[in-house]
Amino acid sequence: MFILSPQSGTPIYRQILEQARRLIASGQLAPGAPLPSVRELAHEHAVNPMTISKAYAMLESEGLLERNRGKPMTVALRQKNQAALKQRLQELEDEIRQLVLAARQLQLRKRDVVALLNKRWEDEEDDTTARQRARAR
Amino acid sequence: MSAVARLWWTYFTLFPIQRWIGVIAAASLLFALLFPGPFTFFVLLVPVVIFLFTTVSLIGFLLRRLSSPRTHRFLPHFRSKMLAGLLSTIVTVLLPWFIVWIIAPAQAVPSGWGFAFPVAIVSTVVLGTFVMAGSMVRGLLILPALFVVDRVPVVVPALFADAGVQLPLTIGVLCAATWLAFGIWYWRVPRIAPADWLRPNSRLQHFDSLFDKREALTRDKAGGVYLTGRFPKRTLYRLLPAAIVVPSGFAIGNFWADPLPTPALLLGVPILLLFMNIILANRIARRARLLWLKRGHSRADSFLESERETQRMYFWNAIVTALWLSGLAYPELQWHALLWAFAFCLTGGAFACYLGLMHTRGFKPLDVAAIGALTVSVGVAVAAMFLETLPLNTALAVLAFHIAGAWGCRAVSRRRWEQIDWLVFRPLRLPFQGMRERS
Amino acid sequence: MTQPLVNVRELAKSFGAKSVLNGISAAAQAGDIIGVLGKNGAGKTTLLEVLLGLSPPSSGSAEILGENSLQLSEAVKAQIGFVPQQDELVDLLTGTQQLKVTAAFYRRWDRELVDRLSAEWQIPLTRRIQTLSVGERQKLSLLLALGHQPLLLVLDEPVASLDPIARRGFIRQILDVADSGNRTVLFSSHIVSDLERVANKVWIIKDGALAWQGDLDALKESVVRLHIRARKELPAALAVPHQMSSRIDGRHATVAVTHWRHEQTASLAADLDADLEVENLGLEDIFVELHR
Repeated sequence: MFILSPQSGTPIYRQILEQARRLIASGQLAPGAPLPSVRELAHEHAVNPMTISKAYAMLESEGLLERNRGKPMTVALRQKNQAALKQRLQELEDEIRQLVLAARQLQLRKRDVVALLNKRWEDEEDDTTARQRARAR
Repeated sequence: MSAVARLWWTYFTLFPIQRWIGVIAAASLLFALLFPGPFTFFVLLVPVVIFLFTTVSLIGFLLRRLSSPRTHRFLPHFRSKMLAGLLSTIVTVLLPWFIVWIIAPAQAVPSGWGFAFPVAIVSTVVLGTFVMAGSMVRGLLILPALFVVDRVPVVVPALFADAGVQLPLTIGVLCAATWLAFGIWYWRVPRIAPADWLRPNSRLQHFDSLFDKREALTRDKAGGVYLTGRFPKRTLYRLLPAAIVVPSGFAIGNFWADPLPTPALLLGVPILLLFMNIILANRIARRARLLWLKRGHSRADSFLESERETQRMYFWNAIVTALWLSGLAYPELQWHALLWAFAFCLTGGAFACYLGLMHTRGFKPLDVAAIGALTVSVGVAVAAMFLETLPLNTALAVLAFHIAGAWGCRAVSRRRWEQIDWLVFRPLRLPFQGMRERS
Repeated sequence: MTQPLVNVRELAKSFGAKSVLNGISAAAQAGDIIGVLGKNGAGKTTLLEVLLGLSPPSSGSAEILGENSLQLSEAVKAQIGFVPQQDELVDLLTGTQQLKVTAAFYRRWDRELVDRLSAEWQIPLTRRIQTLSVGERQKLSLLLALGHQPLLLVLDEPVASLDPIARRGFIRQILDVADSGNRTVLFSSHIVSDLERVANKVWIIKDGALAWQGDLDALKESVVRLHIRARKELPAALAVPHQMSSRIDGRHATVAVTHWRHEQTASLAADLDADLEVENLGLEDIFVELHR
């Protein structure tokens, strides 16, 4: 489920955080879906289980995950405490800066980049809808 | 530095004890040259002799240790370099004897003997210890042979003189032939078994299963395993070497018509064991590190535990050696000889062991003084060897000296062990020991 | 804050004139997995062995479970498992005999755990130890340190001579063991990648002192490399706080900094009048930067 690189500059817990957020936001992890247990994940990737617990705890406090006694953690059924718009946009700060930097290095015009962005956004929305329909069936 | 030169240096200085004695030998050699005179010359040369003797006893073991790792087969010209190193070492060891032979007055020693004798002894010891290092049982059978050779110069010349045979020449030829045979064997043999002189051969492995049948191991016995690096000896196992060694003493004593003078045996031979005791005691002290986290002992308790282990060691050695020695001297068991032998072995052994336990921190003036004292007592013993009977005063003085030495070394050990640093004072690793040889 | 399991206070150790450790202070809490990182010869082994009481410190103190290292009681020693760099196995014994000998010292010995792990790790127990390979010896050493279920496991360069597959296996074993008993693990290594997987805290030893002592995650977040592209020539002495090293080449510069906070990006970019790219560094790069 997660792709972890321990040698990266990004701490492992943060990698899990970011990947989990994306998986949940994109619908690949549907509400109610179980996540691998801390132990399983730690063993599979040969990393410290504490770092995984930390990530899971942070995801729980953000309202993305739910703890079930005796059972593995699951994706929250209802997105509680939706963070403020400003805060959520802040999460994209790094990616936007990277995008702008790359675009300028490639000497692309802003409107070409925005057009590309729009196209990708629509594609992604179509994918998500298709997946939700498939699951409903 | 070429490989052969490095090997030569290793043979002389690898073990700490060689380095200690080597320094003392060098110093006393200097003194002997500065203050020439018959007595000083004699006493001051004793350290040199001891140094050479210690080295010679270790050569065989080292040779096997260095020759056995599999990976060394891939080093270019490995075997020939090893042989060259060995030969150069042996030549160096024999050099002083050669010089003495050349400059000694012709009447003092029968011609040829002065040199043939050391050559024979060195050859036998080196090759004997080489074989012994490979297998203890084989080695034990060779042990009597070593001491037969020792006795040859006293008894045999008379016999051979009658027969008109040139003994020195014969011995010379024999030695040369043996070395040639050894050289060829060493060159050609595909694999040299590793140094496993502590390992009983397969037939004796039966004793291992006795170890397993024990219900539980007491902490003391388990501690002993760590300290000595061997599994606990069952009584039967312990008695086996003694059962071979002791009767051989009586056998040899009976074989030779006229026995060696008492002093020679009682004072001279235990010397051989003394220096072994220093090494073994020091080894136990280093291995005490392994028990630090296993027992709730303070460093003082650790010392007491190590001391107990060394006591078991030299006590047993003293009994066996005393029996063997008195057998050699008086084939019909004489209690007074036995008791004297036991007393010398015990006190000398104790002195040596505490010296070994004391040496925890590199070369300090106190270590030098202690080993100097031991060497002096050895010098006296060697001088007394040539007397017909042992004067009581000398004997008691030597005993008292040993006891005083042991007492002193023990006091120093106890003080030093409070601050023992096992980070640096740890079990020695011989070079090339990283390779694990499959045996 | 509960009493730390391990507490080192101003520990200094020198051998004659050479000083190896100068005033190290650190603590380990229960449940931590601490990686001690440092160049070869930096003093990792010295620190661990002084900590365990094998070597008396020149000054300062080390405590385990509240007791001074030089005077550890039997109860505390029974809570410590140590795997030294050079194994301390008795060559002449077989694996089974060695386990028996070690078990004799401890009141608590988990026979079932030992049997399970020796089977899982495939350690041949009926052959003499001198015939085992380096990896098998290392596994046996680890097993001996676990049998009495210690609270604190100290490992000195446990994987230095293992191949990558054996190392990965070893790491998994340490994780398994640390997880189940809630043990504290203190291990030294110069193989950075292993540390990154396993440790939650690092102690970095440099020149006899601790260059870092704390969370691994915090370390990664606080040490970054800044790539600066300015609009005009940059001055020789850049006004960047907490610099570790810098390379300036006209309008471009690469600066390694510590104590970095994400919020500084905008203000620094403005101060320098430049484009700023923040590169997060892996532990190996951090280690290299610290030693530049």
